[in-house]
Amino acid sequence: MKTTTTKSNSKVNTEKEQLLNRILSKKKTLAPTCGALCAIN
Amino acid sequence: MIQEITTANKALLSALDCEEDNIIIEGFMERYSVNQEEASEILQETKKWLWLASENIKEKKGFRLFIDNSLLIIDEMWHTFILHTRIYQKFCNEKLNLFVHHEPTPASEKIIGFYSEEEKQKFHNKQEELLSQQLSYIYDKLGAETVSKWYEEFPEKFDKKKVHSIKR
Repeated sequence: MKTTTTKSNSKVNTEKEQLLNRILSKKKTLAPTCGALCAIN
Repeated sequence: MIQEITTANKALLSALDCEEDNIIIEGFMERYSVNQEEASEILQETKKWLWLASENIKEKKGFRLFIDNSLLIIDEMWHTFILHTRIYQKFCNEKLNLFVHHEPTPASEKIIGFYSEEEKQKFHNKQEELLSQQLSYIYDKLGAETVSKWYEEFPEKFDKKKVHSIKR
């Protein structure tokens, strides 16, 4: 059970990393952002 | 995990449902040339964004969520939402238990150029770090579907040029 959980979490982390890296790498090819348009606090 | 987040997202949207949604949707359609289905979807995503912003404030995460060009259409819906002050205040009070202010970046803080390539690189590295932190937070709270919609689907469908072109 412990092993399954670890595998499952690691799969989720890989999916997360892949998605984030895909977006971040696309961002480099798009017009650079000029900072936040709006912020919240 | 994906199923859990999808179910949680549905529950969240149901919890954020308001009687006055149609007023905001109609208001947006008056300002932008989009159909009802699109306006409704953008409002749902904006409400998720506001919920996330309130969570971020409550959790005192130590970083502020920001809107960049990817989320332009959400920002436009937010502008429409806050025009209806009573509805917006009611939404914040009843659904978020917190008033989420809209705080545009002052013109003096907007970057218009760089003195050197090194300075430019430093700025981009910092931006990338902040974006990565924000993407990770959105993923953990709302899942892959939302991250992809906000940072892949919306920027393609509603980039800056498109948003200007659909403005009435």
